[in-house]
Amino acid sequence: MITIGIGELNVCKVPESLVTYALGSCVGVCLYDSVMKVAGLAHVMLPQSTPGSTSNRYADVAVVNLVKEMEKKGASKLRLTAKIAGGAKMFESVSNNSIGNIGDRNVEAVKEMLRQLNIRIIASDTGANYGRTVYFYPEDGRLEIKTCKGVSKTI
Amino acid sequence: MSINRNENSKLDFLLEIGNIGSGNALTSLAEFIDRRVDMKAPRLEFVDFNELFGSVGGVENVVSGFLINVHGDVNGIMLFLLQNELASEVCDILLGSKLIDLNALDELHVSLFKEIANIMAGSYISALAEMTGLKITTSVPDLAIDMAGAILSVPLIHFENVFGQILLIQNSFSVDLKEYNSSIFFFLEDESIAKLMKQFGIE
Repeated sequence: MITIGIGELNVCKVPESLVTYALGSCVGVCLYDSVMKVAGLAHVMLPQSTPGSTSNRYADVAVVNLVKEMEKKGASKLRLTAKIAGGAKMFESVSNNSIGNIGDRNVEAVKEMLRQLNIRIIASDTGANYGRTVYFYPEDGRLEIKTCKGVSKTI
Repeated sequence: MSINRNENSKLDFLLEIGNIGSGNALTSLAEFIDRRVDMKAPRLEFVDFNELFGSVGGVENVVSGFLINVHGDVNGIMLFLLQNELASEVCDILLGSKLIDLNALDELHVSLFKEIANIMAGSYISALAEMTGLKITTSVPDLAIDMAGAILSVPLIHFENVFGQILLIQNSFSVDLKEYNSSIFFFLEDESIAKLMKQFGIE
């Protein structure tokens, strides 16, 4: 199991798998090539990079870099599909500033990047007000989502 | 990261802020729950997100997080992380029954916890305000019960968003000599740090 920290990304093939813990307003972007069985996961913190930034903390940078890493492992960009999870609003009343809706903005930024790259989102579990830990498996591209609210699922 | 002399005096100053503020906040807590509360040596550093979570019992550890916005002459975010066991202990002390499941909080628990957080934040901030003569106010605490990582990422993201680097003041504490891995965090904007230092006569 390869752990992906906040603002990091990684890719793997069978028998490895990927995990990222405690996504709050961050978004887990999972890309998959079902032919080559290559899986990639990015833990995105913020929607938009500042000019010149190369940090994978940002949705716009991370999605592009994740595709590149997938291709290095033999994936074809044309076959990639995406699943996304996270983007919660952890604190209900904090809505008068940028913290409040950062989850939504992260989700929108990720969707926009995927749209630009013509990568289809085939499943998602975003929003709400709880954290998510996600496990992503290259053998079948399944994404397991665990929460502390008793809401666990596979998409 | 290399730290020059100016940075060092800034760090010393912030440690002191944490000690004064958290000291007052924990005194309020001790009075409220009528128990001995001890503060541990503070931790102050430029945060590496992925290493921070060890100090709160692990990234997936379920905790109660209270977020308080700090406004006025000084702007920042205060965050209290309370371990499940401590929250349960507090319920036992004040309501006469332990709390088994944090997810099963009712309105009474929520308002009790928020009141405690409110009193702690108020003590922290009023101590700073009195010493500096600055006007500082706190918002009503907002409560989230979730994985520590998901909660801590909220202020981390906010400050990364604005400044690119995060300076964190963390004070851990024990209750009746028992360690609960509970902490008080104060995330301050750079401008506010400068203002506080000026008021204390440190340039």
